[in-house]
Amino acid sequence: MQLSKDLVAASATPIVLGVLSRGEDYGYSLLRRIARASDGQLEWSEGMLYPLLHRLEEQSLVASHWGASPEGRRRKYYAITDAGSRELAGHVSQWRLVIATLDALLPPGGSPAATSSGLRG
Amino acid sequence: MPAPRTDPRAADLAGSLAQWRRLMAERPGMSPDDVDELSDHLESEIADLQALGLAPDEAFLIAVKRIGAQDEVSREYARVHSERLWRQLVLTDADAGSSPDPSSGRAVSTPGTAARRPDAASSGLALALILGLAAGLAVRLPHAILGDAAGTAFYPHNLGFLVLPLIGYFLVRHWRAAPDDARGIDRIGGAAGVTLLVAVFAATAILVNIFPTHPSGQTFWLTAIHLPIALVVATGVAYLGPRWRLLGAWMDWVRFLGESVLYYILIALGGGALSALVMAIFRAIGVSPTAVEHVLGWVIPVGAGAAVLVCAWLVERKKSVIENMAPVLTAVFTPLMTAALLAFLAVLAVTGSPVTVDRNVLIIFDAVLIAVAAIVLFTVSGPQPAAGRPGPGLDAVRPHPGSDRGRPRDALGDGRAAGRVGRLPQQARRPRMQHPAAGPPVRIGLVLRTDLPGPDAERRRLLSRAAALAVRDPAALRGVGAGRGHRLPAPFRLVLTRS
Repeated sequence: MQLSKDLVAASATPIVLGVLSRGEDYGYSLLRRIARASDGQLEWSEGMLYPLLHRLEEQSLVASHWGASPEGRRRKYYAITDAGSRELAGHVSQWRLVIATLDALLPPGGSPAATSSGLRG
Repeated sequence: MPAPRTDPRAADLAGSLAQWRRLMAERPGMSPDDVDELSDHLESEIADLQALGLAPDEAFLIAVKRIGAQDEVSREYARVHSERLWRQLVLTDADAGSSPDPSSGRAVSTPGTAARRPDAASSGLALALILGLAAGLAVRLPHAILGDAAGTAFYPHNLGFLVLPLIGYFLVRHWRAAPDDARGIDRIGGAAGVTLLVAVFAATAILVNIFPTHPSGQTFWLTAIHLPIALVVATGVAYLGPRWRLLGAWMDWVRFLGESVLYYILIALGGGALSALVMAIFRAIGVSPTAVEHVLGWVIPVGAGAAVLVCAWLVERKKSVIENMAPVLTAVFTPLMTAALLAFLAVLAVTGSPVTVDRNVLIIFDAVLIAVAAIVLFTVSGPQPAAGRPGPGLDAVRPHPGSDRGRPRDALGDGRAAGRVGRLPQQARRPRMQHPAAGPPVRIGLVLRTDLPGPDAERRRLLSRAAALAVRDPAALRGVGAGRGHRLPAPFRLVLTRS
């Protein structure tokens, strides 16, 4: 499923915050968890995750610290902050509103399959 | 780094990683921490892909593709950390604590240490400042020694000799600090090449100064106009090194000169404004104007000479900053220049016959034509959006300096060439988190070594086809990487270049 550029940009923040709401994580693992959650349908240009994380960190929605990977590489871990949790809750309620509105507007048994699977990610 | 590896392909992988890191670190807006973070991602992904059964080079290729083109990723970083661009204009984080001495700061690029940004940048600045001071003094001292009258006769012929050798020295020295090249001055033919260059300069200087001319004579001014061009060409050899036989390489030199001129204009404007301000302040507090003028009489020429070297350093170091401005400036000035010339011709046609034109006018016109030629050359040499432009200093990793401008071809498999480099296609159909603006692309090349001896000629031809396809179509690349029996083993080597 290919999401439009705007939709990717709009959904990236809640998705990343959503992953982090289950506990701190590092970039690569974060992307893997997103891919698993979307059945591999949601793909990003992976390098773009990090500038996004840095932006969220600047906005104090996430906090980061350096650790080490099992192989001994430097690895940066990100965790959600309280402000991030509040932001996530706001995003989620907005998305739920959009999905609920779409569901209510579309005819039952129509062909919203593609749309809803795209939004599920 | 994991435990020592013996597999040569794994060693290749470490080298490719180090090269990727180095290219990434050179991008504006990237801090060493960012590069560490990205390479952790890259290595994690490579490890996962290898666990799936891919060869190290295949895994690297796919992981690099998934992480995204370097210019796009770094641009996104730069947007988040816009303040870094300004800081990096002068000194980068990685440079801050490094050694100012190029000879001690230079490290053989082993995987791992080469990942850190080389010290060349800051050492280059120190070198440029020292040489700049020397150039400034070289410019000012003859005036102090000869006095005003002799100075006017001396400078038009000798200004080039005072500054250009120092630029040449800076460029040659700069290479020695460059990580890609361990051969140092061998690039211009070793000691013999250097001697030849010095001899050319010395012989010209003697010839020009011995030849009897008078400051009011036409020969004098013709020499003054054309001598710098010849000297600049000679300095270009120091810049280009072994590439001096390639026409395309000379365009690099033209671009270097053009961007230096632009930088110089900016610095001169700033310097002029500063000098005027300083004079006004000192006058306001009652310092005698002659004293101020005496001091500025030293500061301004020395600064003007030093600025040339600083410009050379800036261009070498920070091309990308002015690169975006240069096309705009040329686009503005080319029509203006054309209009000015047409106006001149019109006036000439109206006021008098060109046949009776004074020879001095022709000499001035000669100078105008040189300026026009310079602007045209600079415009033509500007970065073309369609063709990737290799930066100087990276030619060490490109097997064919002239052949990489074209698109990847099926000729990849013709077994004739030792290597072709193709640009990684844009991941057009993939959702992005940023807008795909045009910019200098990062190219990932599969260099095919078809010259390897072996019985597997047919298989190698098939592989080369697959590789050519993969370079054009990332989706096909996944097929190559994941499919059984379609690995990219020994005959391929991965090369990253930055345009």
